[in-house]
Amino acid sequence: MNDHKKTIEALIFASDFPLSEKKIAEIVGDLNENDAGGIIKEIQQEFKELDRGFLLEKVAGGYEFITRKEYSGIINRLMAGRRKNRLSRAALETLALIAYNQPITRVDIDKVRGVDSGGPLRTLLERKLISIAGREKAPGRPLIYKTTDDFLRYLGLDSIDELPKTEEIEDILQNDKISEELEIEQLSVESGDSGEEEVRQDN
Amino acid sequence: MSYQIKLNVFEGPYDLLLFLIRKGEVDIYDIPIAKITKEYLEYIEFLKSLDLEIAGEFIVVAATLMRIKAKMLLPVYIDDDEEAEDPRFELVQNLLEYQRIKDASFRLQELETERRNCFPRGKETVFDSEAEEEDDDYYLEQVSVYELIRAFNAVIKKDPEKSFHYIEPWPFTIEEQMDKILKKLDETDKISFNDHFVKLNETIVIVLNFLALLELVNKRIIRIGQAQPFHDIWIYKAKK
Repeated sequence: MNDHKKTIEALIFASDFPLSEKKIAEIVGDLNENDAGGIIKEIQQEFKELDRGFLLEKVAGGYEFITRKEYSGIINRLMAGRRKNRLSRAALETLALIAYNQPITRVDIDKVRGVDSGGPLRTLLERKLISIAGREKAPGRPLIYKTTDDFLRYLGLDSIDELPKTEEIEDILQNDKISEELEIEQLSVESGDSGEEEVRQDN
Repeated sequence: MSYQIKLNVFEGPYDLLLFLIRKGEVDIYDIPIAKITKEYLEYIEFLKSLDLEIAGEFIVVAATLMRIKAKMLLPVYIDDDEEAEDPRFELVQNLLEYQRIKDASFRLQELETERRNCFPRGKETVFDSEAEEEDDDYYLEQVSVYELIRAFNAVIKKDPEKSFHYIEPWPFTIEEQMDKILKKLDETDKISFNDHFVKLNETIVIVLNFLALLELVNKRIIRIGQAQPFHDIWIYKAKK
């Protein structure tokens, strides 16, 4: 058992994508998914208790080591100029539409946004946050888009079910003020990665 | 001259409409269509006064607004069993749907912000990749006319107005400025819009440079990109 623990730890450490229990069981051989899951929970707990600079997190259906958010400032110094930009408003709107309504055609995206979404769609495809899910069985057989595992990983979600629920329309209208404030914030924040005050509880 | 900022705030006609509705503190289910249409058209006129080409989407919504306004002026024959449909209904549905997605996009942005504080081990596709080293403007979004005008205004304002003027032939041509830009691009692979224009000291040279820039873009000899709204604009050689 102890040996399995080290094996799994090593596998997750070496992997360049989040490793699922299934994949681990497949590679290790004499281990089933359930046991793998149990061992991963143990490792997760240990890392948390050891209070290291990083944690083992579940994301996009698998597990990966990520640094604690407290160190984002210092790591950004290491990564200076090598990080991809945040998504633009247009890209975020398009991504939100796809995430909540997938699979969806470009025509439907344009209709809701009221503007052409060709540019943002290209950006999202290039960044592999969305992919083409096929073609709709409608006249012209338009392409339909869906979100990818990279999308989940980009937002730190385990599965699409973890997306924040869209509230009832009435609630949203009451929240107009909040969006307005965010808009203003957006203008001033620019690309600054530091200065994020919110601290998420790791689990 | 705060309009440059405003132009960038709206993602599209619905965004503008929602802004007007919010600004006027009116009920979205009971939009005073005459008032909103007037304000909307004023904005479009304002864009025109800047000699900006108005995106077709804005015109479509303007036409919709005017159609609704006309419909509301006409007397409606009300059948006893049928309730007359509010001509605003469809537009309101569109606006609500857009508002919903806009709201969702802000939540995604919150998640993005949070997640960007955590760095995973190993290579992650959303971060730096080989693809980017080869093509470091990979993720830049297209620059809109608004962005260009804004950047242009910013540099032209840096030139203090001269209190005198006399006419003299100036030895500059657009072609010459185009050559200069291209020569510069031979030396470095990208030029910062601000850096480039700040170094120019005469208004006419700035104007000519801007025209040269537009001409080069039009001829697809160079490309321009910007990381984010309000950021510097980069000038690149177009790939063959």
